[in-house]
Parts: sequence; C-alpha cells; structure tokens
Amino acid sequence: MNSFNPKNPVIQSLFGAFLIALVGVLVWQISQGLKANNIVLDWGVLGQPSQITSGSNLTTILLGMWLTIRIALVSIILALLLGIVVGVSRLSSNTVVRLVATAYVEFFRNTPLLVQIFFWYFGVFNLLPKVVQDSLDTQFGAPTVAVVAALSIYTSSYIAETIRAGIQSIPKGQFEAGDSLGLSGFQTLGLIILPQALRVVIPPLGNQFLNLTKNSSLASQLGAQELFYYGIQMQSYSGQGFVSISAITLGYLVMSLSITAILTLINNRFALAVRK
Amino acid sequence: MTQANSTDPIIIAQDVHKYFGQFHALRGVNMTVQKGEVLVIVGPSGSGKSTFIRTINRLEAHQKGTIIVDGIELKEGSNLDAIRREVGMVFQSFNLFPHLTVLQNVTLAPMQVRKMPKDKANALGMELLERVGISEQAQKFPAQLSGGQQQRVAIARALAMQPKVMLFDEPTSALDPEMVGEVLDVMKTLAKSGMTMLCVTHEMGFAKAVANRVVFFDQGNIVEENTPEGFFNNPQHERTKMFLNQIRHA
Repeated sequence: MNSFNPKNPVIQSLFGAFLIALVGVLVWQISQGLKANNIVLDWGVLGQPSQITSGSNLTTILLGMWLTIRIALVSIILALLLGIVVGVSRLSSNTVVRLVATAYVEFFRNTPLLVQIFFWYFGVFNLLPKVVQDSLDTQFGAPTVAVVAALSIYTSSYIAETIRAGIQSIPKGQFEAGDSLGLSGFQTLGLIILPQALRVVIPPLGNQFLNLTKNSSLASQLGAQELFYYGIQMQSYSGQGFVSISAITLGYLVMSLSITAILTLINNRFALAVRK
Repeated sequence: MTQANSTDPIIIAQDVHKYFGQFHALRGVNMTVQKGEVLVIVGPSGSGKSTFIRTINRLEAHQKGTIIVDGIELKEGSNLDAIRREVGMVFQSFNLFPHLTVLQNVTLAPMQVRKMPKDKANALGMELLERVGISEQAQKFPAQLSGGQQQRVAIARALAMQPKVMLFDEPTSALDPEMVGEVLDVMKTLAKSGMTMLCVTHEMGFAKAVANRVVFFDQGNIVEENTPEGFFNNPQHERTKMFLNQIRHA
C-alpha cells in the first residue's frame, strides 16, 4: 500500500485533527491576550444607540455598507464600460488610438489608487466650475464623486487588459466569418467578438470587481461615510475595537461573497455550449 | 477557356500579386469567372490557391494587379462591406458563431446588414436550413452538431445574404470521411441551381460532377486550366501529372 496516499482516511483525519488543534490554540491565545489586557468583548455594543447616526451601532454599520454598495455598483459599471472601450482601443489598427489607450492603461495602473483618489478630490474636482462642484457635492457628496471617478478609472485600466486578452483569445476565423458576411467592423466586434470574449473573461473580471469593492474602503480617507469609515468611528466612540473591526470585516465579506455568487450565476448562465 | 463565348464575367483578376512579408504568395494570377460558372481550384499546399480565393472578398489584400468583383474594384478605400455582401464564403473550420443558435447564425447577417425584419429573416433562415437538410437542429448550438452538419449550417449562413458568388475554402478537409458526402451533396445542388462557385477542394468526384473548369495552382500561379475530363484524364503539364499521381496514390 502506498505509504503517503493523500486520500488515506488515517492521514485525512490526522490532518483534520491538526487543523482543529491549531485553531483551538489560536482562539485560546487570543482570549488569554484579551484577558491579560483587561479587554472585554461586548458584542451587545452593536445593539446600543449609535453616537454617530440615528439608530443603533448596527444601523451605522449598515448605513456605511449601503454607501459602499452604491459606490461599488456605480464604479463597477463605469469601470466595465471604460475598460471595454480602452481594451478594444488597445487593439485598434489606428496608431493614435492604440497609443492613447496604452498610455491610459500604463498611467492608471502604475500609480497608487490612494494618490489617484486625492488627485481627483483635491485636483480635478476643484477645477470644475463652482456650480458643478456644488451640485455634485449636494447630490452625492464631493468625496463620493472623487472616489467613484478614481475607482472606475483605476480599475478600468486592469479591466482593459483583461478585455484585450479575451478578444485575443477568440479565433481569427470568427473575425473573418463576420467580415465575409458583410458585417461592419463595429458589428463584428459588438455581435460576434465581444459576446464571446466577455464570456471568457468573467472569472478575471470578477477578481477586478472584488478588488474594486474592497479598494472602496480608501474612500474613508476623504471622509466618505462608507463601511470602513463608520466602523472606525464606532470603534472610537465605543472603545470596542475588536467588535468594530469584526463588523467591518463581516460587512466586506458579505458583499464580496455576494459578488462572487452573482458572477458564478452569470458564468453558468452564459457559458458557451462549446465549453460545457 | 471553356466558356470563351460567354461575355458576362463576374470576377476579373489581372496580374494579382500577394506578399506575406518576404514570401511571394501570388505571382501574377489572371482569372476570369463567368456568371454561373463552377470552378474547382486544386494544387499542393502552399501553392496559393486558398490565398487567391481569400483575395476575392479581400480577407487578404493584394499588393499589385486588379480584382474586379461584380463591377467593383477591390482596393484600399473601396466599399468592402458592399462587395462582401455579394460574396459568400465557407471556411475549412466552419467558423460558426458558438454563442448563437444555428438559426441565429443564419439570420444574423440578413438582419444586421440587410436590415431584414426578424420574422422574415427567420422564415428565410428556416427555408435555407431546410434546403441543407438541417432544419430540425435550428434551435441547437453549433457545438451540439456534427462536423458535417456544422458545415451545412455554414453554407446556409453564407446563402442567407443571397450572394452572387460563393467561395469554398477546402470545405471538406476538416471533416470525418463519412461526413464529406453530405456537404458535397449540398454543394452539388447549389452548383446545379446556377450559383457561381469557386471551390478549393481535392474532391475529384465533385469536380467531375459539376465543375465547368479545373484550375491547377503551383508556386503562386495558375499552371493549368482545363475541363474536368481533360484535367483528370489528359493533363497537359508535367507538374499537373505529378500532382495527380500523388493525390491518387495518397
């Protein structure tokens, strides 16, 4: 008998027992640390009245999540649209278009996102006409507008590369079939190439959507009242750091797993018959 | 030329040259095709036969010479989409659209290019699928069909644009042997209906049954043009004899 077969039930149960022991040691260590520092975990703080917003602390966390969801949704849509345009332009036969798209990608994916957020907030936003500034600020909040712009554009530079790879994975014969039927370049692209390329790139696109959602926590740096911002506020007021961070973590986890679930559904729905 | 008295050319190619980088793929090809003619183009691999028919709908651009299809010269800036509407093409590897159903594959171009209403396009699509014997598969996806069925869908898709010329680029070379017959039968029916056809194929039975002319390519040019009987039974050039010996003993 093979002495190291990973499917051997003895080895499997030993490995399982080892994992459980490891988690047990970690929990015990943390509880010892909390005791030594006289920290009492009070999960009930979530139900107590909030000093930041109306309702309880849980309401505050949910309000923060709601802004995060709105920022993420709008940014994901904008990033996808921009990414498709730039990704297609990267493959243009027009040299100028191709160079501009390449410069766009290299600029926005090679500077830090936090710097870009500040650039939009303190730079571009302040250059807008006063009327536009005021109306954006009252409608959405200036920090939110800056963050949506930065997240969309930053992520679109990654999405553009994903789209380009997807288009390049489509066999040349598909372009030729479209051309030979008399379809215009745009029709071939929109009706034949992109529908196939987008199916291929759903998993890597999902990665970008997840990154974008988690990166939105940087909005707190401008004071946008999203999940991370409110969670940290709650920590300051209540003194319950561990509980606050746990609430923040759980909030992002729920949103990320929802995105993953939705994309899995889309992927299953649109998978090409050829790949089943 | 076998139809020297005909005066209704639909394709005129004069001194056509094509380069792939340094490689001189077509070296001054001259060819005139009359309306309703069925041409079979044969030749060893790399002889330029596929490249030549791909210049006729400008999937390959030629660098020298003139090609006139249905009165429109193919050159930089000419209305390519207009020419391609009149020239149908069937590929060796089918190139069906995998994300569309069989029927949608056929109706896409009529709806998008000819702006045909959906119900009319569907009726036309079903009629064409009927003609190639595959209407019961209309709602399936290409990957669910056999190779022979896929190629018949590809023929129906090209016919849906009601082209004046059909180009076939080795349409049976990628098929399992038992599926070659069903595709050739469709092509034979099409030939007898009066369609102008240029077929790159080594199916001698097809050539004998429906071709008006057989054209033999070697090293980027036409070596011999003949009737199917003359070509297969009494070839004129040494190169042609050698080629025929090779494909017969394959």
